[in-house]
Parts: sequence; structure tokens; C-alpha cells
Amino acid sequence: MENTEKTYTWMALVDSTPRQVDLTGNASLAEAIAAALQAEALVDPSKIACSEGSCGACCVRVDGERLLSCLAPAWRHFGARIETAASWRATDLPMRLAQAGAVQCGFCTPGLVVALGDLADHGVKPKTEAELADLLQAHLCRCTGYQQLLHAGLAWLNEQENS
Amino acid sequence: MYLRPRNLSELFEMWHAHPEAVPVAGGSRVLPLGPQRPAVLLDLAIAALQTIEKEAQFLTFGPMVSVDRLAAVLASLPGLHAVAQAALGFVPVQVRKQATLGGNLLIGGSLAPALAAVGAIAIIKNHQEIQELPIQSVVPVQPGRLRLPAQTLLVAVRLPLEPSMVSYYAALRRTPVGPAVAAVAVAVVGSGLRLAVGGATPQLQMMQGDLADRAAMDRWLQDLPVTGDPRASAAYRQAMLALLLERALDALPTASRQSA
Amino acid sequence: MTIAGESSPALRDGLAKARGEVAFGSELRVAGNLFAIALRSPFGHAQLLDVDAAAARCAPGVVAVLTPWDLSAPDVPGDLFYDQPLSRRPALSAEALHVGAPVVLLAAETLAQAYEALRLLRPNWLELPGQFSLEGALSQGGAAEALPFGAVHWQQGDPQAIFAQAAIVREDILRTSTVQAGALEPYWALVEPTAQGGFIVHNGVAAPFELRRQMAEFLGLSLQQVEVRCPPVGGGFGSRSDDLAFLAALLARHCQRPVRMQLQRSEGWLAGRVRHGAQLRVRSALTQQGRLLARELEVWYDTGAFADLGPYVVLRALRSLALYPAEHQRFIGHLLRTNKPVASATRGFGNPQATFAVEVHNARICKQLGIGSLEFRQKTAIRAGAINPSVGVVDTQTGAFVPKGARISSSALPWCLQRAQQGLEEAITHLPACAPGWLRGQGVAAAMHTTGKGRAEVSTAEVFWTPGLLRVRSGATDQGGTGVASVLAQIAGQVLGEPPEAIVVELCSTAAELADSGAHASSRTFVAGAAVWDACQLVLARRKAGEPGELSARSAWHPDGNAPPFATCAAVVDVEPATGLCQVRWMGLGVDAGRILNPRQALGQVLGAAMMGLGFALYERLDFTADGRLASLSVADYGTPRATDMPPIDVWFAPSVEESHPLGVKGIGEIGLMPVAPALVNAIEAAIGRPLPGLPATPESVWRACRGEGGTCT
Repeated sequence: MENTEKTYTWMALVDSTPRQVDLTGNASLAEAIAAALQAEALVDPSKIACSEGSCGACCVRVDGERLLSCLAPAWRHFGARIETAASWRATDLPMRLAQAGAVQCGFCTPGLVVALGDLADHGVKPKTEAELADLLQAHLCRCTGYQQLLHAGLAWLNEQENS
Repeated sequence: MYLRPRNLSELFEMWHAHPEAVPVAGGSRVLPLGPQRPAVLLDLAIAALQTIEKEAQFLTFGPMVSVDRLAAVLASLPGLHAVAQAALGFVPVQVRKQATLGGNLLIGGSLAPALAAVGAIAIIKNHQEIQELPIQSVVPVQPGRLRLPAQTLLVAVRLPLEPSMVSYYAALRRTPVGPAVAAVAVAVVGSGLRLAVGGATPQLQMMQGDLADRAAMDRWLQDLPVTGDPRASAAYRQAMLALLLERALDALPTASRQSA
Repeated sequence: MTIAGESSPALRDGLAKARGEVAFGSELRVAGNLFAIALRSPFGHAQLLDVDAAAARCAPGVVAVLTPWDLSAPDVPGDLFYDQPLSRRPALSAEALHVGAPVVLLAAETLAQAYEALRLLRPNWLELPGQFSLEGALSQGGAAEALPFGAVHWQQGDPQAIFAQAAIVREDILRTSTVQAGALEPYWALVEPTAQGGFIVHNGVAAPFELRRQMAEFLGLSLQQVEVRCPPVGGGFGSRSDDLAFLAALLARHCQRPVRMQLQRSEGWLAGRVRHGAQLRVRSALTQQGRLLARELEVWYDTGAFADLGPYVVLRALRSLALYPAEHQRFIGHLLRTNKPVASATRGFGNPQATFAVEVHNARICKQLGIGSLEFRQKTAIRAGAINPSVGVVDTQTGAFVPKGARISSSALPWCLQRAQQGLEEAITHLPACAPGWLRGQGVAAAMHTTGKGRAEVSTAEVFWTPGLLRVRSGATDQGGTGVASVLAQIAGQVLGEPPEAIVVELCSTAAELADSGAHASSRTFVAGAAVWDACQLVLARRKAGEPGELSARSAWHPDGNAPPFATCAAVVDVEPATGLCQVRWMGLGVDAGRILNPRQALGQVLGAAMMGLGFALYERLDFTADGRLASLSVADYGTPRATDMPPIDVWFAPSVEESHPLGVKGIGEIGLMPVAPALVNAIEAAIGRPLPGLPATPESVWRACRGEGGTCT
């Protein structure tokens, strides 16, 4: 069957680069940001796992607000400024997580980078690993058991200069 | 189709033109890919539905106010302690930030019993008229759809600012962020008490009574149509409701001290 | 030579992943690929009488709709059980044997269009009666046995005679639930036809060469016409053995276009593989002083609709019996068929269930006889040099298990037990007192596992060296950040004296013909690591002989035996009897995995396994309704532990060297999981003084136990 459906163009500024995504068909008007980001990217730093807001893998920052992008309607955020883990590539956060053993399969890691990066930008400095665990409760990791992640995240957050 | 109104009147116009449109609040019911995804979406992200208004005797929240914001605003109001607790009980925090008051009610989330206990009013509107109803009459029987007439929207939830009210909410879950298998909310003004139960019964249940008449509460709890499912049996839920009520009543003096 | 422990190479792919630069399989697209989905049975058992697909076929973007009547789909060959095709199964059948079984395949230009078209299918179902619970299957007796020869069985001595006369005989029956590995990345497969009439299969499987064998048979092609490629995997845990690649291959062949098929996470509960739910019966005869005279372990594993890897999974239960040798022993392993999603390999492979039962039983024996948990295990557990009866073969005519007489080549279990006990005593003194209305309990458990499956293990490596450039090519796969490439680089670098930046490790597709038996049973460092070590030794010898130019060598390594790793777990748990809520306050694990090559990665494996063990113990369970559907498809509902659920965990690695292995290593990936659930349940039982029926220890089951429902703990 010929693909006769209309194509809609969704736009966003993703990690400081303007992106246009062509979405075909009326059903695609219900896409979430996560799906739109993945539609044309070869590597999508925001991962899609549960699609129900339960795992945190798709966490990105949209116009300065941290969001689980699988539940954020793309068209509500047309033209938005989106920051994925790629926006923190220049920081030492990825290296610190890797060095700490906080990365195994790595599927949850980009979402955690956004969460930690956003906490740092808000000057959040948890006092204990338990306090940080609360802040990261939305993020599932099935590989690491969290200990190395909390350890590295706590140290890194407390080293950040207040912005 | 994705309908993106700028204000309420546009919203109702669009809805009138596309009666099949399904409103999108926090997105958890409609965005995941699958057969449940509607063909026409109506975005509720408009300013008029995100307002918080304080009057002398009321505090009114738009349905698009996030559950986290609701908790933050209520944190300083001891009378509405139960609602703040129920909001904070909707974990994790990131989910709470994206979840909306209206969406939480729609999915049968944690807020309904607390809102019912404190006597919240649902303000609903269609393209012509506004109506006020007790919150429990719009809460869904089956999660997924509020009990509203066609093309009618929950436009606000109004909470009473009653200086002498104290309230408390307690819940129990089987898994760390799963739904409550039993939840109890109590609100007391003088000797008058409202007790609401969620999680354990298919529908939100509520009674009004006298704080001193504990036997009446126990009888009411015992007669509730508590159901069992794979998360927990009816017997366990029944026992937990009694325990949670006990804890809520014990905590009330603390809650009232906080309000003093 | 000895490979020194170092942690830095763990950065190899971790950094790229943290920078969001790694594309996982679920993001993989090839030009013009179609998106496929399946109509799946909403019923536990049903017959698709017919399906009106007219509207779906005409829907925008739809390229193909395949019903069971449109094609004569061959069977999925399945793994062989000692050369027997016991897990052969239809790829697509009108009879849906479990909820989520695929019955109609659909391919469209976009995923959204595929889902739109799915809505237009009009299936006509006939619901059938079925067996939707393990309890039901148990009551059927032999009729539910999934294996043609019935139960797998083994006996030594005459346990029945001993049970008849021993001073102390204790029997416990325990249950474990059906759970899922719960890897974050959804299950997926992408199959593309090649110009030469073959197929490239992209799939995150653990054993690509095995998938190639099955796929070639499935499609009627030669091995060379099928290439299996494994891109980075977002968590494997053994569970990526679903049938998606076969379904995608049917569509790819039909459409002559690349086809990608992916399960939504909610579909993954139904169509992905699960861990066998089980009933386990342990019976022991002892002297009054606690000497073990005889033991019997009988297990019933719920394999769901198909046997799949079940025959091997159920055999692994033997490890828990073998850990405590008695002169008289008996094992009976039943694999029961139900109309539930297919159970197969999942981290630990049948051992977590059995170890749970045996270790809870041991704790109850100790309490009954008033002897120390540590003392009992120190005295009773198997020692280095002893024969490990759990290594052997099965006679596929009779189901009789025949031990091969393999010996335990190393064991630091006594060290692990001692260390865990010491850790427990320290932890208790430091923990704040438990809250009013809560009770505190301590528990200990031990475990023995395996390294590799003990049959047909192989890995092939090629090494190319010139000064300053060391290339390692291996047929091994990495099931999701277990650090295979890092360890291979570390081994090669140390043998040939090259720094990490001079080393390139390539984990190859099957086209490279570097045969590898797959990333399972904690075996890649043990097997693939030895292959790389061996190839490097050959290069080193030629270098020492003064050979000029690029030096290369190839090694196909077959390990000798399957060196069992050991572990112990000690735990402190607080319990609130009024609600049944449990809170784990501390855990400590002593681990004997031989020499630890990469301490940070090894620690990560143990901590992750401990988390999975905690979930298995307290929360995780796939809840089925009476008619075989799943009560909930929500990730939030399922109960994977979150950061907020984890207690502080101490891990101690035993100073151990596995004598049978050139690098002195044993498996690390799974052993940490085994003792966790029994240690936690032993702690809960110690706190409340009553027995639990099994796993998970839900608030309700603990509450019921506190009220004395289900007997008393003698």
C-alpha cells in the first residue's frame, strides 16, 4: 500500500542544534518528545525504555525543565530547547560516572547524566547518598545496584561551583 | 490530530468541532504507543488550567497544576495536610513534577481520598455552563475517565481553608512505587469527621461521622466492599484499612498541634 | 603468568555510553527498514479461528500482513538438549499457548502506522481452557511434564532408608514466583535480506553462533548465508532469547526488505522470557548434632508454554544440593508446562530458586537443632578436592542424570562464610536501633554456582601485534556492559606489554567465524579471556623467537571443567509485623570468583546481582489472573528495586585462585545473586520467628506469617 499519509514537520533546538523531524501520519501527532527525537537520529542520547514514565531513561531538559520525555507531547513543545546527555559531554560528569563503575549496560546512563547535570545547575548538594537516592528515584538501573552511581554522583554534585 | 488551544474558549470550540478528541494532561494514559492512543488529542496545557488562586475561604487549583506544585503550596497549610501527604505519596519526585492534579484523579491516583476527606469541590465546565460538585462524584469508577458529561472539563479543584480543620493521610504499597493497596484519609472539624478510603475498594468510599464515635467508623470500614487482587487480598486490605485509620486518628492531634 | 588486577580499562565503553554516543540495538535503523509488530493473544489459551485483515492490509503504510494461514512458517528449532530438539516450537501459530503469543504479523513503513493498522485487525478468537498456574500443573501430575522422559533424576546411596530411621528429619516446601530479568532496553530484532539471498540478523543475543545455527535451519539456508551481529545491549541477564528475530525474518523474507521488530516494554512482559516460577521440596535427615546424613531435593519449575532452555535450567538446581554433600542424596527435577509466557535463561539459570529453598531449609534446621548457621555450613559444605556431583550428563531416554566425577578445583567458601559473619557482627553494632513496633533479624546464606555451562564451551580469539598496536578480535559478545572488551584488552595488554591506548578490541559478528558459545553462565572471562591469553602467549613466543613484522595468532579455547564460584550473603532486615513491611538495613557478600582481574567491574557485577536478589526476595513477581493474563503490565507496579530501596552493601572478594584455569579466574556475573534472597528471608524469619511460604516476601505474606497462618517455625 502506498504511503499516502501526510507528513508533519516537528522542530526543536536539540543540544544547541536545530533539528527538523518529519513524522508521517496522523497517529504521529501523538508522539512524545522521546519518540520524535528517536525518529531520525542515528544515535539518540535519550533512550526509550518503559514508555510510561517509570524508568527515567528518556529524561531530558526541555526549556530548562527536566522531563521524562516519553510522556511529554512533542507538539506541546514545538520549537523547544532540548538538552540531552550530549549537552553534558564537555563536562567531567560522564568520565566520573564511567570511572566509578556507575556505567554497565549504559542504557540508563544518559538519563542519569541529565538528572545529575540539572541538579548541579540548580545548586543541589545532597548531604548523603540516601538524599541523592530520593532525587534519583525516578531512574531505574538494572545493572549496577546503584551504589557506585550514588557514590560518584554525590561526590560530583558537591564539587560543583554554585552557579 | 493535535489540537493546541490557547485559551478555554478556544478549547471548547475545538472540542465542539472534534467531539472525539481526548484531552491530554500529563500524558501517561494517551501518549504510549499502542491501541489506546487516541486519533485526536486536545492539549490542556493552557494558562487558565494551571492557575492557583487563593481567596479568604478557598484555595483553587487548575487541573494542570502539577502534583509536586500542589504538595509545595499545601505544605504550609496544616488543615490540608492530608492532601499534601497524598501528593508527596505519589512517588517518584520526577513523576510527581510531570503528573497533574486532574491526571492523578483520572488514573485513580493517590489524591482522591485526601481531596474527598477535606471536602474538595470539583468545578466542571462545558462550552455553556459551570457546575460545582463534590470531588467524589467526578472520580472515575474505572481508572481512565472522569465521571463527566460529554465535552465537559474539570477546570478547577477548590479546597476549603477551614482554620479549625485537621487532616491526615496514610497509605500502604506492595512495591516501592506501585499503587497503594490501602489508603485512608481523615479530616476533622470540631467533632465532625470525614473519612475516605482508596486503593482497597474499586471506588472511592467516604463517610461522615463523629470523631468520638469510633465504633461507627469500624462498622463502616467492615462493611466496605473491599476487593482482593493479585497485589493483596481483601482480608489484608481490610486489616490494613483498620490499621491505617488507627494511625491517622492517632496522628490527628499532632496534625492539629502543627496547625496551632 | 599472572594478570594483575586493574580497574581503569572499564572506561573503554562506559565513557561513550555516559556521553550519549553509543547507539543501542533499539535505535538501530537501516535504510528502508519496515517496522513490524504482532497481533498477540489477549488470552492465556485460545484458538484464532480467523482474522479479518482486509482493512489492515489497505491501511496507510502497511506492506504486509501475515496470518498463520498465509505462510507455512517452519518451527523455531530451539536449543538442543544433549542433541535432542526439546525446545522446538512454532514461530507463528493460530493456537495461542500463552498470553502474548504472536498470531498475526504486520509490517508497515512507520511504527505508528503499524499500530494504527493493528487496530483494524478483526480477530475471531475461541477461548480455550488451560493451565494457568503452577499449582494447577502440579495437580495434573505427570500430564504436565514438559519433557518426554519426565523428570530429570539422580540418586546416590539410599536416602529413603535413612529418612526412615534418622533422629531428625525435616522437610520444607517453598515457592518462588515468576519474575523477569527486566532489562531496561526493550526487546528487538532487525533482519535484512542480502543481495546474495542470505540474511543479516541484528539481535542482542547472548549466543550469536547458536542463533545463526537456528536461523539457518529455520530459513533453510547454509550457515554462511546468515550473519548475526550484536550491537550494544541495554541489559541482557540471559533473557534475550525471545523469538523476535525469527518473526522479523519471516517478514523480511516475505517483503524482501529489512524489517525491525521491537516490543513495547509492556509487551515485553508477555513475549519476553521470564524466570521459572517454582515449587521446591527439600528434605534432610540429620543426627541430633546436626550431621547431614541424607538429603532430597525435588523441584517443579514452571516453564510456561514451551520448554525452551528449561531442561538445562532445571538441571542447575542440582548445584544447591551438591553444595552440601551427604552420603545419601536424591534429586528430582520436574519441568512443567503451563499456559504462561515462556520461561528460559535468566541470570542464575535455575539456581536462584533452588539455592533459596536449600538455604532457607538450612537455616530452619539450625534453628531447630540449636546450632549456628555458620558452624553448620562450615562443617557441611563441599570442599576443594571433593567430587562435584552436579556436573554430568542426562540420559535423554530415561532422564537419569549421570555425574562425570568432576572435582571442585578451588573453594574459598570457608573464607567467605567467616568474612560475612564478621561483617554481620560489625554491622549490627553500627546500625541504629530499629523503630518502635519493628523487629530486627539477621540472616545468612551460601551458594555455589558454575562458570560456563560445562558442555561445548568454546571461544575463539585472534591477536595481531606490531609494536604500539595490539588488535584483539573475539567472537564473544557483551550482554550489556559486563565489561568483556575491557577484560580482554587488559589480558592482552599485560601479556604483550602494551598500554590500553595501544589496544583495539573487536567483538565480531558471526561472519568473522570466531566460534563462541555465548555470553552465559558467567563465562566470558573464563573462556574468551583464556582464548585471548592463549593467542597472546603464541604471539609472545614468536616475538621472543625474534620473528619480524606483524605477529598474529589464533586460539580456540575449550575450558577444562566449569570451576564453581562460591558466595555468602549476610543481611540485617527490619520487619513491621503490623503491616508485614520489610526494610533491608544492611547486606554483606563474601565472594569467591577466583582471581579478580578487574576489581571495579567485579564489584559492579556483585552489587548489581545483589540488587536483583533483593528484588527477587521482596518485590518482584509477575501477577497472573486466574485465566492466565497478566494483572499488570506496568513497570512501576512490578517492583524493580530503585536507588531508595538499596541498603548499604559490603562486598569482600576472597583471596582465591582457580587452579584449573590459566588466569586463575571463575565466573562473577551470577554468583552474587544466589545467596541474597535466602539470606533476606532467613533474616525476616529470624525477626518474626515464623516461616514464610516463599518469594517474594510481600507485606501480606509476612503479615500472614506473623499471624501464624502457614504454620510455626520450629
